[in-house]
Amino acid sequence: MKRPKNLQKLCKECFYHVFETEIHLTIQKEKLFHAGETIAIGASGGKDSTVLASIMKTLNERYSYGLNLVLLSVDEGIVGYRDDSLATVKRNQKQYEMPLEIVSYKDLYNWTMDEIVSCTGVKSSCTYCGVLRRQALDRGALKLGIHHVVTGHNADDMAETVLMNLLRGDTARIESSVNVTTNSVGSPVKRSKPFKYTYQKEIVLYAHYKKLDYFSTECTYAPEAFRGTARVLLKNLESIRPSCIIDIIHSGEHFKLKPRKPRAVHNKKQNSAASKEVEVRPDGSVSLSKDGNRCERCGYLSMNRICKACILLEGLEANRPKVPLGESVLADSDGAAKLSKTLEQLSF
Amino acid sequence: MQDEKFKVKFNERKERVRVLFAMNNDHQTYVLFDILVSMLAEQLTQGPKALRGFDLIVCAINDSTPIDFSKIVEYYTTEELNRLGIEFVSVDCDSYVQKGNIERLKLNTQTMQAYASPGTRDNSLTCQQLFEQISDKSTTEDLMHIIREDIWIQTAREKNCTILIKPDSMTQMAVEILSDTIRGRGSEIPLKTQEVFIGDFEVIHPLRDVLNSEVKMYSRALSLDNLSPILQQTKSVSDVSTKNKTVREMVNEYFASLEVEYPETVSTVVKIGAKLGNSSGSQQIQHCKICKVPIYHDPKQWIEQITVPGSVPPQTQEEFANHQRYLDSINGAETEEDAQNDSNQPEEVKLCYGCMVTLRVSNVFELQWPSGPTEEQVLSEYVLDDDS
Repeated sequence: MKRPKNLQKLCKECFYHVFETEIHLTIQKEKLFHAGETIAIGASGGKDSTVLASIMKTLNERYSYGLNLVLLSVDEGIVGYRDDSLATVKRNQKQYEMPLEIVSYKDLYNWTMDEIVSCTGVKSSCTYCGVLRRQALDRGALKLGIHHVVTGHNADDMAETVLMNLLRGDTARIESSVNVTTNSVGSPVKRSKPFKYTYQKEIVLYAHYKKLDYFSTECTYAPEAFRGTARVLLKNLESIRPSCIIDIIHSGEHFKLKPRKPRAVHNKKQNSAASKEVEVRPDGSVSLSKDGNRCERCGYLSMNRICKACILLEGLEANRPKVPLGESVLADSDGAAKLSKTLEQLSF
Repeated sequence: MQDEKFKVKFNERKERVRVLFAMNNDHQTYVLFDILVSMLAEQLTQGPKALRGFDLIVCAINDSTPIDFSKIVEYYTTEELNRLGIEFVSVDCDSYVQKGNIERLKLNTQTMQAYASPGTRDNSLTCQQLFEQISDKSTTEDLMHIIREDIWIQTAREKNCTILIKPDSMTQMAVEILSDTIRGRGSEIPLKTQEVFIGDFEVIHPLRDVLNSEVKMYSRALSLDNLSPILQQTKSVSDVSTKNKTVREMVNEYFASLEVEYPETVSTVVKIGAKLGNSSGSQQIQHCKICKVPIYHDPKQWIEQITVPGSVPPQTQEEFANHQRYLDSINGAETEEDAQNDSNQPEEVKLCYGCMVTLRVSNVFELQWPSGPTEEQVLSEYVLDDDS
């Protein structure tokens, strides 16, 4: 094979060696773990998380990291998609001999993704799912007393994030979009991405050659439309310049915002009054100046008085039908994912 | 261009700034040129003693798409252009290549170390031959861009200009920002897309708030499309297959597709590009041998950190024998190469990440490239000539 990253030609055995060693080097360079630490591996049953679980087990044994590895899954409640992928995670649990914890949206928020989609439509499904899953992973980890979650975000995901931050003009995230570790001040859970420099293609290849058991269907709810455009661009670019993924990460690592001009301070009195001022947003939330604040409702880490998840859930509750129409039909259909799967199996 | 230095003068003794207009063969150029002509003409109508606020020197590069000045003269008339004091300069791309020494750049793809053999003059080398070394279209486009930028800076210096006007529209700047990000040139964005000051020298983009679609509408309304056959071409980049597109073409197409549903994206990208600064805190090592930009972080070290060049050690006797044979073949080749290198005395040189990748993906064994000073060095030689 010819590696897209550096055009290196490798045989299968050397590919395994290089692939595993590069991830080990990323772990070492970033000092991701310490001996005796318990790590939760975010497991969805997909190729990235399955390879992550396999690699973490291999490296932990080979280099004696001394880690306790736990699989942590989130059940978003997408019938016909997540239930199948969770079955893969359960098989992985036995294969890798790791404990498994599954947290579900239904238990945490009293909503499943199927219910959310039927309430808000498919277009905004990723917005809800992204916010809720982030919290769910943290909550699941804390439930097990774990303070470090590793996820299978790969180089392609990182490059896509860099492009998205540019296209959305997200100044708050542009400098940190390619960080291996994300840890907000006051957050009890640290997140790491050991696959930061690993191409998706190589992950698939590794899973294929190693005959790993993974679930390869994409989420039924279409990816967010705008992100979808960036993804298509990236795939097209890769066809003419395979190194573009790592090139974008290089660019992302060197994005540095200009220092802000300091505000002129008129006098001490005004200054002290300004420091007491708080911005009240239209939704009633209050902007606080420091990291490490907690949501008033759920206690989760939040910059505002009420966290994003609680605001989204409040909106959902307001839209929940008091008297559901065609209850029996809804109960049978089990959401869009199951429905599309049933339709696929129909023959005329 | 609202600045005092461009405004109408009423005193002959007051020094006028000399402005170099970087001319390309596209809609934006002809539209901005038309605006500049109108601006100068309007200045002269502001009273009997009114003098134009700046001297405009229009610089076109003679390359694959040369600009026909005669059509411009025909459209605006010689008398009017003389009255406005507009000077036209045409720079030959080949003479730029032949003017300096040609270095032979080599990249060791194993160690990512670049070497340069001492430069010699080659009066027969043309710009086209320079680009024919590379098969990859995106790389050719990238290198062509570098040469054009260099020519404009050098011409500006030669013509005693203190300001370089670039006709890039907001859409074009967004394309540049995204293309640079994709090519690993993210750290160069502040240098290319912002109002740059190199000492007293200034680079400005007056069309930075105007969309390409608006530029085209202006061009059509004033019949500027007749000034160049390229402007009348209706062939879209979408007609080209994905494999034959360059990075810039692909990004261009991407923004065009976003314009309907997400029209704010172009301005968002330009705004965030303007907020980016140089990688401060890190020490500048050297300038890139190809594009001459300052290198703040060693790209070689970065690549070494993220890739493993090694392989699995041989296990069986057969593998040991094969490995030994391979080493012998490499050693033999290296000795021969070393001997050749010794006579040429290649020196280690620094390349920025973007150029390093460019050399690697283009698979050029040895790139012939004109050596030259950096922008700062060119402009530090710049002296205002009172006679001009």
